[in-house]
Amino acid sequence: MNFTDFLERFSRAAPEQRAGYIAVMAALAAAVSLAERLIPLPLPGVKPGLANVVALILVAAGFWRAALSVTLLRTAAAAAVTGSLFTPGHLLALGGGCAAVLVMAAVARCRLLRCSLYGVSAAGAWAHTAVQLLIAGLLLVPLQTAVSLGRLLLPLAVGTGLVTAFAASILMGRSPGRRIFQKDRQ
Amino acid sequence: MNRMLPAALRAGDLPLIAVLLLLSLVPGWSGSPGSRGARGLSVTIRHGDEQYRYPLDRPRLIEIRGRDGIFIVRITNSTAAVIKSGCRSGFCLRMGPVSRAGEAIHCIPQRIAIVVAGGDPQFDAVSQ
Repeated sequence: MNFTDFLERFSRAAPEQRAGYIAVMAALAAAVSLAERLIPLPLPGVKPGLANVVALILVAAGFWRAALSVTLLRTAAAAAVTGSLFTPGHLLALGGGCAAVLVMAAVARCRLLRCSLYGVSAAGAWAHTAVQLLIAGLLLVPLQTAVSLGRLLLPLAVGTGLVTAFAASILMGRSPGRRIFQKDRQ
Repeated sequence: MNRMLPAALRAGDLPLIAVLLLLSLVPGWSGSPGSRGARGLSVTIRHGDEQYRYPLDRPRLIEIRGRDGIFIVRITNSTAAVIKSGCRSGFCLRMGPVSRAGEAIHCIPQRIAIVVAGGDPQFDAVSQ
């Protein structure tokens, strides 16, 4: 069973059964998040963002509330494994992840924008980084320093968002004939 | 499930990405870390009970008569360095220039300390 089939089953599952699917997807996302930490980073704070692939696919499929749940669970699980639960690092991941899901959902639902997965993902990655910088500026470093770092990190976030979208499209399998962002199913 | 992924970019993608990249430049309007330079930084020179403070972004030569002779500090290119000291060890000369807040040069024989202060607190890295 590939991820497309899994998502198909999730979409057909009864509401009370969806929690199990969400838990599996959160575990998958947390595993990807932890594996991603092993990748050498070119710059501090710059990551491919592959952990957001699951949330991106869920948002693209119209399940943004499920994507939000997966993000909450994913960040908590990854933080628990690394011993950083409720630390500023966890708060950064949580805030960034939730902002990304909300922005991706807004872009996905906005018919005026007419974006594909790539646009949605780029917007989400940008919001992810922007909110992380804002939280860092409020909690960790002077706000002006965080804002200045945005000039470097925000354009990179757009690039990593496109990488995430590419990874998601591979995971889902490209389906040229089928449409995305139709009537909300939630 | 009728919503699946498209194979390629759609019409709205490129304008959205362009807007995001433009928005990314907004924080730069207030100045990047590199362009901020030594704004707000100052050099404090302590000599015994006396203390002098100079902005780091204005070049100048400061001459102090220490216990072991003339002691000269040069401020240039947003850095401060000791270029002459009458002390025997010469450690202060070999310290090289200082430019970041918190960095300091001490000359114990001459009883002179040069400390960079002010500006934003610097950090080496942010752990996540």
